[in-house]
Amino acid sequence: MQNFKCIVITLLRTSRSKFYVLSSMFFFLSSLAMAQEIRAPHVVLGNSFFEKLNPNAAEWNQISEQIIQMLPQNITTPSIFKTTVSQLKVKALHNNKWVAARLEWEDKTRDANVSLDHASDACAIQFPLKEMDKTSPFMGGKDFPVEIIHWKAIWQQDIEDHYQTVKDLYPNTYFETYQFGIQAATQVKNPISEPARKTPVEELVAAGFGTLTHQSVEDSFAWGSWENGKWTVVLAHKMTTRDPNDPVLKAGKNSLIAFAIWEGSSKNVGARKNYAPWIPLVLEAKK
Amino acid sequence: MPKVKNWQIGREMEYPYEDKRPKKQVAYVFDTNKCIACQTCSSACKTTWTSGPGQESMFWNNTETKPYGFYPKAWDVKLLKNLGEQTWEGDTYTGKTVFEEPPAGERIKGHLPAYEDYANPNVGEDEVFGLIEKGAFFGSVHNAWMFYLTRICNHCTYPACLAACPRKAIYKRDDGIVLVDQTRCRGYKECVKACPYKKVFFNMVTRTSEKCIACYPLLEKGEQPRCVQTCIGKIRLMSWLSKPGEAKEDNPLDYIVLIKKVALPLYPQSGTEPNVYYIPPVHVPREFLLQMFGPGVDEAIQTYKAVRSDPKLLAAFLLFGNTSKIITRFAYNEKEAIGFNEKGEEVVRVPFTEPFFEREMFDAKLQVYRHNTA
Repeated sequence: MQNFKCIVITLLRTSRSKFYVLSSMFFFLSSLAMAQEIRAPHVVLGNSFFEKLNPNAAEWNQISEQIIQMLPQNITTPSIFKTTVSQLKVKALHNNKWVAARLEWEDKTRDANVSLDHASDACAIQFPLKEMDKTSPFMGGKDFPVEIIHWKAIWQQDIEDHYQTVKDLYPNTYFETYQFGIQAATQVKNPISEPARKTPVEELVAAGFGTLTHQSVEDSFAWGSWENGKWTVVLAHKMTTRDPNDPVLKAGKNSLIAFAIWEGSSKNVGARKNYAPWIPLVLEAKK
Repeated sequence: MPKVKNWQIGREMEYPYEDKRPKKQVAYVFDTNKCIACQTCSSACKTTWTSGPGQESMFWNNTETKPYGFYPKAWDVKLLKNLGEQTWEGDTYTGKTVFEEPPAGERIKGHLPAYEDYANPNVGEDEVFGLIEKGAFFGSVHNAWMFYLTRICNHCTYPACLAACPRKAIYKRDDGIVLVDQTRCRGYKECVKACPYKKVFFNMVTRTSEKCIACYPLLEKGEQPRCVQTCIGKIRLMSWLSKPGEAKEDNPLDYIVLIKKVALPLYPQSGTEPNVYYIPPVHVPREFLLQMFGPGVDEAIQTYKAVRSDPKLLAAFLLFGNTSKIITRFAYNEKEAIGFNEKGEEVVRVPFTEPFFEREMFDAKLQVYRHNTA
């Protein structure tokens, strides 16, 4: 209930109108009706399982699945008012060193490019860094930050195939004076513009809307697979790290997890996303 | 939402951030009557800043023919449609700005162009408005009209791009220049959608948004931007505009924009307080100009036409295109207009009348006759 109170207060503080508060509360309450928890059993697995993730690995077959209803993000602007991905299937497991969440959702199109007309499919999981009951699921708050682990289809394509060029989307493009060109964002090492990406995942920390910040030290892996109109993405994170901006996750101790899904062909990007607020994450102790 | 004062629309308006004008504001005057659409400005800008991968169809500076030219396609038609009915009572705009009553879920009333909308920067070039009757001949007045509108980022006082960015990755410097922080931008394209003038662009290679940077490395050295320096028609002047109510008689930009009001903002009804000021084309129907430049059009054209009998205004106009340096103060005497930089140093001296030289028809040194061969 503490958690619920906190979210309502956050809503009242951050929303721009009563309409937002009421509609968000409705969605929140309807999501509570699902009131599930995600159980991550302890499984004896080598670290390589987490460091070389395979979304279709047989180990996942024994893990029970939770179905989570997604909500359209309209707590803050810019928003969407209708989900573009309505359901998310989640499995989780851990080996005391690593925790992994396997996200599965229906998406008829595999979108792994960006331009004005294209956005990449993507997903993210979020953990509170401090007191769980005081942390807003909406990007955290000033003294209660969150950590976000973000995977994008285009980042995986950067690694599997090559870094996107204009000709990938517009093959007949002709240009003859590239020699003068500068790529400012690449030169200033914006992580979004990394031409030699090594991982399709990015760790971020946030303490409220507009504060999302890249973390240079990464203790995460992720890998996705799109088959037959369905994305399956596994995101793994070390349970304890030395990084103060990482959550401390311990077997036998509950945490919270939140989810976000972006559907590229619906131009979902940034705040225009589907989300599920905090859901209890039960990290089961070794039996 | 805080209320801010927008002098261009003569009233307060809603804006997501508090009213905080920069110490000085980068601003430009463009004389549309002198523009010949040679695109030297566009080329100068393109070769300086946007010739890299992902910038193929990106023109921070473009020159389009009005009424049928658009870059990107139909940008201002869509802006006017988004704004709805635009009414003025005297100098007060009584319609809605892009910040007021945005659609649900949006911060700004805007539209996101398609990639293809940028593919034809010269669409509509030189096309005139009006039909020419069969057998018509030129009788000193043109029956059809067009004009060239050259455009860059307006470095608005209340930028819509800045207001739209959920990451606060766009900022306005103390000299009024509006920049996208290339380290923070995550390519959400909200700024591209929000800018009423469509002067923020998405680079699909860097995956970030990019825009005119007012050639700030030049400005910081006391020099005018590339597009201004290279303009062969001498239609442009860049300097620092004072805050409303603090206009200085000897600042050429203040004098032209705030005191004589001969140069007007582009679509002031957007509410962003754009800082590129246009001297309206004198030959274009007033209805079109009123829609584009607001209610000051008649007065501006009247003042412009009377410039021959206004030596001070003429002196200010003569400073256009005659020095690469930023002129912050000007003076004039019977013969010349004189420009000074921020340090008070004289940087240019332009005669009201160009000196006339008559040369002998026979060049004794080269032992040749000078004459036209035609």
